[in-house]
Amino acid sequence: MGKHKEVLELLPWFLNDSLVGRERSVVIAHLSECQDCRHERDRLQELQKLISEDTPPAVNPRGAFQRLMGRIEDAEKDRASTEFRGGGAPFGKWMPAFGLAASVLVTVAITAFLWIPDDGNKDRDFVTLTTVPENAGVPHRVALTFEQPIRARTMRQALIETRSDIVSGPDGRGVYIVEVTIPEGTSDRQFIDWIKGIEGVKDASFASD
Amino acid sequence: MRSIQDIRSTRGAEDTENLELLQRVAVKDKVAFEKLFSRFHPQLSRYVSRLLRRPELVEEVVNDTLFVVWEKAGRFEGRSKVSTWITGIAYLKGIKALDKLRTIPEQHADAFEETDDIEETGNVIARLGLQEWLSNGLDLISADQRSVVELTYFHGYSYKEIAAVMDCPVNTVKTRMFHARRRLAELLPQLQEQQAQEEEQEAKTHKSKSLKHTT
Repeated sequence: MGKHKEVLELLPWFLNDSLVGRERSVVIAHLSECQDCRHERDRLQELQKLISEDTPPAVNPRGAFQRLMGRIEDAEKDRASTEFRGGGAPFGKWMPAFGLAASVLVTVAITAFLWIPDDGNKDRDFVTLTTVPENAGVPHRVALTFEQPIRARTMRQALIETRSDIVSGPDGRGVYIVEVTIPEGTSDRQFIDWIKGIEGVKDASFASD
Repeated sequence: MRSIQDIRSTRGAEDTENLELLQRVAVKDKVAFEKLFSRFHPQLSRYVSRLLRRPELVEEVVNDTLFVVWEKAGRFEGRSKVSTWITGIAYLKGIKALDKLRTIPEQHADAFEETDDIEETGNVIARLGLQEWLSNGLDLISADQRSVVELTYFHGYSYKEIAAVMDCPVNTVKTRMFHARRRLAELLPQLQEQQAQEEEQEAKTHKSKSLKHTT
C-alpha cells in the first residue's frame, strides 16, 4: 500500500491519539509533505469535534440502576426456586439423597421410640395363654449393617422381624448396634444366620462390649 | 481457562481499577457492581444511542449489557481491556436489538452509501444546523459504520480495540471507517458553504438595515 493511502486510512486514529510506533511516525512524516492529507486531517478534526459535542438524550442512571437491580434480584429468586425444585444446580442434585437420608432417620427414630420398653407399664402388657413371651431368652447386642441404599420401609421391616431395639449407630461404617433377645432353644449361630437372611440386612454379628 | 481472580492488568491504571471492580462483581459484590455501573453507564448509553439511533431502545440494551456483565463477570479472560469487553457486549446486544426490529438492513445502508445522490441529500441537510446535519448524516450510514465512527471519535479507541469490540478483522474496521467518513465528509463542505452563504446574507441584511437607519 502506498504511503498516501495508508496515511489517509490511519488519520482518524492519528487524531484520536491511539496511533503509536511506526504508524504514528509515518503519518507525521507524510503530513509534513502532503497538502491533501493535511486538508483531510482538518476535515476529520471538524467531524471529530462535532461528534464529541453532540450529546444524545440522557438516560436517568439512578432509575436505570434500580430497574437493573430489580431484574438481578428476580433472576436470583428464579434461580433459587429452580434449584430448590432440583433443577440441576448443585443443591438440587443432592435433593433425592437428602430426602432418603431424612426419611430413614425419621423412621429409625420413630421405630426406636416405639420399641423402647416401658418398664412402668410392663405388668400391664396384654398376654394370652397361647402367647409366647417375646422377651423370653437372653438379651444380646448385635452389630447390624444394612444394604445401601436401602428403602426406609425395608429397614423398618428388618428391625421389626428381628425384634431389635437400636442402641446406637450408625457409625462411620454404617453399623447399627441393636439389642435383640434370642429365643429359647435357638443357638447363637442359628440366630445370626437367620438375621443375615432378612431382606435388607447386609451383615450381622455379635457386638463386643 | 484461568480464573478472573488470577488476572492482573497491564493496560494502565484505569483498566486496573475496572478489573478490580469486575473481580469483585464476579463474586457477586453489589457495591462493586454499583461502582462499575456508575463508570460505564454514561458511555454505554452514548455508544448504544449512536449505534441504534433508536432512543426508546437505549435503556433496554444498556440494561441487558450490564446484566450480562453481572452474570458473566467470572468469564472475563483478560484478553482485552475491561472496557473493550463490556463495549463488545453492548455492540452485540445492540445489533441483536436492531435485527429484532428488522430496521434498515445493513447491506441496504452500505449500498446507499455507494450511490451518487449526495447532492439531493445534501440540499436537504444543508438547510439544517450542524448537529442536525450530523444526526442525519449518521442515519445515512450503517450501524457498523456508526459504531466505528463513535468508538474512534468519541471514545478514543484504537482500530485494534474496535476490531476486538466488533469481533472482526482490523481491515474491516478500516474499511468501515473509510466508507463512513467519505459519506459524512462529502456532506460537510456543502453545509459549510451553506453556512457561509447564510452568514454573508445575514451580514448584508444587517448592513442594509443600518444604512436605512442612518438615512
